[in-house]
Amino acid sequence: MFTAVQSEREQAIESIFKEYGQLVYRTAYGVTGNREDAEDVLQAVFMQLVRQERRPDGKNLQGYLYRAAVNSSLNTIRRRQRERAQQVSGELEAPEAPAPDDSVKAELRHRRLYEAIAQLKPDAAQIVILRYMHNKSDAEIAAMLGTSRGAIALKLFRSRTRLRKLLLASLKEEL
Amino acid sequence: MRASNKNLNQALDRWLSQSPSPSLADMQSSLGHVWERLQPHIVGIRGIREEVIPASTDIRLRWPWSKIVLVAALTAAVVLVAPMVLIRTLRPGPAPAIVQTVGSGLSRTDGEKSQAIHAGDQLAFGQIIRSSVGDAAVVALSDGSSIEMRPNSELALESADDGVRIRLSRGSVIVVAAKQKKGHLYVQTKDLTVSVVGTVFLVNAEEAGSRVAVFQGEVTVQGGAGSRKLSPGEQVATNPLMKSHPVSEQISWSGSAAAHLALLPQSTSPAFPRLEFDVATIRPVPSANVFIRTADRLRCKGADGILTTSVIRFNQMISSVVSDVPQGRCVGRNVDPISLIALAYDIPINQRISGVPISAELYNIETEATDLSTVTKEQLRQMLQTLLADRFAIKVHRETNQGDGYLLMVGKNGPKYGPAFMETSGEEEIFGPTHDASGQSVVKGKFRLKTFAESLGLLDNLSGPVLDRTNLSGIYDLTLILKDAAASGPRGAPTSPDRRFDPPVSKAIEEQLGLRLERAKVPVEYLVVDHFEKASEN
Repeated sequence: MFTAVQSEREQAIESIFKEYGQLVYRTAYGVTGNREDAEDVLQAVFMQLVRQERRPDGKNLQGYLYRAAVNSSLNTIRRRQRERAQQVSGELEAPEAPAPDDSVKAELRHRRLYEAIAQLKPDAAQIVILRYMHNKSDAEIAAMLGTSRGAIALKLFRSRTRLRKLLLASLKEEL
Repeated sequence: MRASNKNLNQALDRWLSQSPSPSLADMQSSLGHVWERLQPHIVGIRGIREEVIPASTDIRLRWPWSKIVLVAALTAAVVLVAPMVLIRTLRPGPAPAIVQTVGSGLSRTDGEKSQAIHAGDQLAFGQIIRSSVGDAAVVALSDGSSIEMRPNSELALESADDGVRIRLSRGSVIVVAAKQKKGHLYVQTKDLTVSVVGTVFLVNAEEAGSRVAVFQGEVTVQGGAGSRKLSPGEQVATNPLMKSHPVSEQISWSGSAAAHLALLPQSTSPAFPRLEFDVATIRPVPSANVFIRTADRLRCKGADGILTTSVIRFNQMISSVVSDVPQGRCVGRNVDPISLIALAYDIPINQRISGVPISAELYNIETEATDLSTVTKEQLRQMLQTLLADRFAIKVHRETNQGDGYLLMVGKNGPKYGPAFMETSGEEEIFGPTHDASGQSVVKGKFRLKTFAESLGLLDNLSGPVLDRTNLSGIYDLTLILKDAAASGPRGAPTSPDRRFDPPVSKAIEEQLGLRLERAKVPVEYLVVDHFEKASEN
């Protein structure tokens, strides 16, 4: 009897991990840009499930896990930003920076973009990432996040305007 | 203004469409790793729920009446047994482990939150314990056993049916297992389980596989198809491609390395007696001279030949004057510590030694063995390790990962023997890779194919090490000429792997030498320097 209960619970978590682990990991990797942070996010999201700190909405487990992945990944971005700010203020002399190559430029661009996305409201950030990282349509995003298509379209428009403002200087460099 | 907004929108679209995405293999590996890390927590939760869940099971409401009697009987059994289980589980007992000694970098995590651990802190089952890159730590179990963690290791303690299980997901531990009154102490990695009743042993978990070495007593190792017992001095690895290294080197990071090695039978301990130079002079090169960056190769001459760094860092000019080395000595001017480490630990320099400050000083080195006429290359190599430990306070460990690399193989029409590829004899002598002003890079010298492959790995447009799979033995005069793409094509030619030269490296090798390069997943061995100081004065 105990065994049956144990395996049922363990199987449930395992099947959720198998079904949605990739979604969470891909999202975290896309936002944080590196494997270590993506693994930490995946672990944190599933730890919440294991502990049932936040009981997932049974009807929309995918939406819950996706939101948790975005929020946890953006928290990581914010933490890294703080750490970098502290490091810079602690350095007496800036090291001589070599001219950035393409991969360094891409990394810098990615970091700036997600630091800007981290300044959006959580639901706006979730929508932007679903659209541009996962290539979802307004209807698909609406279904996943439990809202209407109109609301998604409006939020996407506002989020883009805000991102353009936040990234204005960097975007102009490219023009 | 509208046009400007349009341009900005287009730029934003470009930014948004370029999120990095993991490769499928990396993602699978990460998912597996995280699932492994979650295991102790899932088991932990399950343990607590054993007492709770049966009482709240509502499934039984849908059961047919005919089963009610059975349910009642089982429920009664639960009511009787559960308190006993609860009492046993909740009875205050000793914590499974206490941190004994620790540097500044041990942490534990219960999943989301990570917190620092200090000496004297108690550890609970299921917590993930991580040692930082520079700090080892010792954890004492309540049964009297101790676990010494290498820097950059990760483990969790779990309750096993008949003892305690140490789940090692990364790094190395040396376990001094107390005599178990009943049951076993287990160490588990992703591909093996070690069970003991009282002994001293090392377990190492790497991406490519795991290793076990025994110093005292006997352990049973289970993995893959079967199990085997190991005695003192014996070691096994789960992946046959992993290189074997002396146990003395594998535990050089340990504060008790000498004590553990002393447990080994003399015949199985290559580290005894300690091999060291009779005379060793190490002088830092005055910093005013460092900018010259002309590195002389450190060379040692043993009775069985010359020992020298197979390759030198690409950004350094190499002195073309090869000075003679007297028998039984090691000599080098302006030696970069990385070259010294590479020679001592027999590892290629190319991005595979980490932890040495780039700005480390250069040194003039002259050493002399006691027995000048009979000392061998291998003995000189071990003496260099002793020198690094004594004078640079070095502590190292090796890690083997599966990574992208290349295999150097014989082309379909066989080697193109001729002026560029000629069998010869004598010692290896390597010149290059070197660049010249005409946009030409040359890899030239007297090589074993293994060394030639290592030299190719130095070319920064190959994205990984090159392993020799030519099956050609002997020493060859080899010359490979590579022309920069920029010299023959438009400026700003792409710098992605294998495209900077025209023709690319793989084609040049095939055309000039009749060998071919094939992309492959290869075991890549890294030497991680856990601790390194400036050389102490003579």
